[in-house]
Parts: sequence; C-alpha cells; structure tokens
Amino acid sequence: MNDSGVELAFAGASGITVLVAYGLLMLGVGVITWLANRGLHQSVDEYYLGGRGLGVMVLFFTFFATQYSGNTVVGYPPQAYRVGYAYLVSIPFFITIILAYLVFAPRLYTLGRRLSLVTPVDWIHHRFQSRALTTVAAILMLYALANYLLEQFVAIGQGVSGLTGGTIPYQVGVVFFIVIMVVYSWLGGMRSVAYTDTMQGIALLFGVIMLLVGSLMYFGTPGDAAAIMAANTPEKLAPPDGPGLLRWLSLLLLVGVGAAVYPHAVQRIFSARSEATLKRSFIRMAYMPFATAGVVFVVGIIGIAAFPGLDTAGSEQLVGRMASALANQSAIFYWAMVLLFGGVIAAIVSTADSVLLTFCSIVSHDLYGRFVNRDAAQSRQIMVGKLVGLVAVVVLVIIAWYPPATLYQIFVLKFELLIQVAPALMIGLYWTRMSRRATLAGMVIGAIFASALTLAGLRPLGLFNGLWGFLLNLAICVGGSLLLPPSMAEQNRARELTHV
Amino acid sequence: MSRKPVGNAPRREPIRTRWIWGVFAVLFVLLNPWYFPAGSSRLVGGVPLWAWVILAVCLALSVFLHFVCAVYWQTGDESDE
Repeated sequence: MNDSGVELAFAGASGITVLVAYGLLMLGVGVITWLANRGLHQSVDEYYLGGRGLGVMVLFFTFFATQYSGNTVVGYPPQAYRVGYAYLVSIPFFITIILAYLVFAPRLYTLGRRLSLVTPVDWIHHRFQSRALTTVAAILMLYALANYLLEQFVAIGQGVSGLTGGTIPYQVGVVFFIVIMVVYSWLGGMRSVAYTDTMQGIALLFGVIMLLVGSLMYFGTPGDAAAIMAANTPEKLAPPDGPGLLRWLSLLLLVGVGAAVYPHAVQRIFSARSEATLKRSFIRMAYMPFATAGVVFVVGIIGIAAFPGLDTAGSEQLVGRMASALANQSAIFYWAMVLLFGGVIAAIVSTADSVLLTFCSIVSHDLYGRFVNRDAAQSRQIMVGKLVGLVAVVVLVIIAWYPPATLYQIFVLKFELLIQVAPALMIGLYWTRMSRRATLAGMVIGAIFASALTLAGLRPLGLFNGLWGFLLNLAICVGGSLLLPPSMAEQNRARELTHV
Repeated sequence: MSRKPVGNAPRREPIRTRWIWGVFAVLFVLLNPWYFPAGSSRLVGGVPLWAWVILAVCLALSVFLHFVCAVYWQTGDESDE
C-alpha cells in the first residue's frame, strides 16, 4: 500500500500483534472445541453439521460471516464512491437472499432432518437418484467453491500485507492464516468454524460501525458529499437509467438466488438445532443488510467528501485512507481501526473456512462415500475429505502465490456455475414431474453457456452471464420435463419424498 | 427422524400461501428504482429522495420477511426448542 502513497498509521507492530492475537484466538477455539467434543471425528453429522445442534446466536453469526466477507468492507465503499447512489442496490440484494431462502429453506430443513442430509448434493441425489446428475452437481459446486476459496486466499495475503504496511509479506500472511484455518477446521469441524465465525462477525460489526462513526465525526456527512456530487458529478445522485436499471435488476436476481444456493450456506440450514432456531436466524439476517452493506455504503459516499477526485486505482484504497486518517485522530479510533482491519482479515478467513469445510464434505460424503467406497466408516469418509481438502488448499495456495495471468478467466467462474444447480435444488422440492434427464441437460448446458459467455468476455444486454445460463437451464429443465415427464411410479416416489 | 408438530398447530409453509408472494412481487417491483423521473436528484437531508424511497421499500421487505417467518412458517419441527 505504501507505493500508492498511503501511509497506514497502524502499520507495523500493532498490526502484527492484532493479527497474531486473532490467529491464536482462532486456534484456541479449535483446540477447546476438539477437547469438548472428542467423538466428533467419528460422525459426519457431528463433524460437518456440528451435530445438527447450532443455536440461534451461533447459527446467525455463521450465516452472517459466511455471507459478508472482507470484501464487503474493503470493496464496497470504493464502488459507492465511484458509482454514487446507484450502488445502493447492495442493500436490497442482501435482503433478497433471505427472500430466496424462504422459497426453499423451510422444506429443505424438514427433509434434511428426515433424510439426514449433509450437503446440498445429498438432497439432489435423494431427489433424482441419478449418478450423473449427482456427479455434475458435485463438480459444479466443487469448482465454484475452489475458485471462491482461491479468491479468499489472495484477499488474505493482500489484506495482511496492506494492514501491516508490507511488514508481513503477502505470502507469509497467506500461509500463516491458512495453516491456522486448516488446523482449527480439522480439530473442531463445523463447531469450530461456527464459533470462530461468531467471534469474527462481532469484530467486523464493531469495526464497521466505528468506521462510520469516525467518518461522520471527521469527514463530514452524506449532505457534504451530495454538495460535491451536485457540483461535479450530478449523475451520482440520480436514479439509475436504462442500462443501470437492468444491472440493478440482474444483481437482485443473481445475488438473491445465487448466494442463497451457496453450498456452504445451504449446509448451515441442515446445522440448525430446530426450525425455530433457523427462523430466528433468518429474521435477524433480514435486517443485517442495513447494519453492514448500508453502513459501508454510507462510508463510501462520505469518502466522496473526504477524498474527492480519486481515480479508480486511488479509490480502491479508500477504506485504507479513511482508516489511516481516523487512526491519527485519537487512541480510541486508532485501536478501533486496528480491530477493523483485523476484523476484515478475520471475515475473509471465516468465509474461507466455511467454504473449505463444505468442499471437504462434498468430496467425502457425496463422491467418496457414495461412489468410491460405499462401505467406508464415517471416520474414514471424514479423513478422506480432510486429505483431499488439504491437497486442494496446497494447490490453491500455489496458484495464489503465482497467479497465472493468462488463465485468469477460469478462476472467475463462481456464481455462473453455482446458480445452475438452483433448479434441481429448489424446484425439485416442489415439482414432482421434474425429470432427471431434463434437469441434467439444463444444468450442463446452462453451465457451459454461462462459462462460454464469460470466457469470451461477452455480456448480452448487460445482464450477468450466470443469469443467461440460468434462464436457458430453466427453459430446458421445465420444457424437457413437460415434454418427457418421468414415469408415474417415479412421480409418486418424488411426491412421497418431498411431502411434509 | 421425522418429528410431530407441537400440539395441534397447523403446518404452514410460506411458499403455499399465495397472497404472500403477491406482496413479495409488489415489493420486488418497487425495489427497482424505475418509477423516478430521469435525472431527479431532489435532496432530503442530504440524501436523494429516490434513495429514501428505496430504503423505505427495503425496510418494508425486511419487516414483511420477519412477519412471514414468524407467522407462516410452521412445518412442525419445534420439539427441541
């Protein structure tokens, strides 16, 4: 960060202290969870779902920390800074995720209990009983999860080296936090992931709110920013026009449906202690966009008053600039900003750990335990998942270490692929006529279409490619099922299976 | 593994109640800022009026989600709360 001219007031010793303290605290949580639940490595339910016993507070924070990553804090204010009020869409798109949950979570939770489901792929297997469909869904999810993990690893390295003003190099930051993450995940499974999520979520919330308070105290109000926008860039105050509206709509749809079917988010539905616990967590989540996306949006807008006229590269450093300026104001803000940046790193780690655990569970439960070694004991399934997860982490760290520029596009595909699993996951819960062949064809063609558009660098009508793939997928899936419906016996089996 | 609902409480799933989705559809349509005149940037308290309206719709959506979760989601697994 120094080469861009930003001097971080808290670079150096205090930054390193806070990061090391965070790391050791997370490790401690892993060790305590392991000591308190010695048997958890014998049962898939215990290891991957915390024994299906997460209470409201922990479940809420693990949903929260999984959904809001460090990018929400560091990446969203620069967007608001550049786009202005059209980026207000970041608040409703987090709310539509909860709306999408309401479509499928109530039934999926009940079926998860009844059928002892562990992963979203597990449900697709029960519903369609097709080896090909299960495998394709697993591969799409694993590919997207691996890319998601890679993105978090790069963000950890950049965040750590940024926070410490380069004192801790990028690579050291990546390796330090990934080793800690793997160790505590191995020790305590979902429980340690959820407990650390709670800790990380609280740190992040505190930091973000202090950033807002400080910004209002020292940089001015949204009104000051509006005066600057009205004079220089009035379009930042105006509602989005034609293409802007289309982008707004496609973000609401893509993020709403896409983020709700994140495999690691769906897995949390199965981890709830009870239906009431799940409901209460969702109710809290419905208001969180105001406290997170809303707060960072306002920070980005105030940034326009604080540091007017930054170019794109300069605005990417906005949060660092504002935090540094605040940290120079008083001891309280100094420590609040150190905590904020520690919280940002923690939030990235907490997203990464959830993704890694779900990655391992799909490998061990859906692929190894189902197709490779059906008779494997659960403890063996868990061990296989851990080892494959470790290999994946090592490969991803190597890629994160030397990001290959020419292959960059294939590491971008995430939402584009994940959203293709949504019809099987969601519509399959209610529509007994849905056929496995049409669902498979839709999923494969939708994924190929969305990927091809992305790799070719196209974006027809300004809509996101994942959405184009999804629409094609949906048309094939619904049209194919209507034209060639499954046998009556199969439809009856689906009816019985999905009955609540 | 299947559990019985507590008492005689009726089983309710949000997706089965049509009027709920009518309300969601209206809120979703209002969540997109298409109904403001182009270039309108009237400020109220330093914030564009259209942004206040979108925020109000967001809040209405959150409150309605709260209501639907609390009242229209009872599929019966309450036994261990």
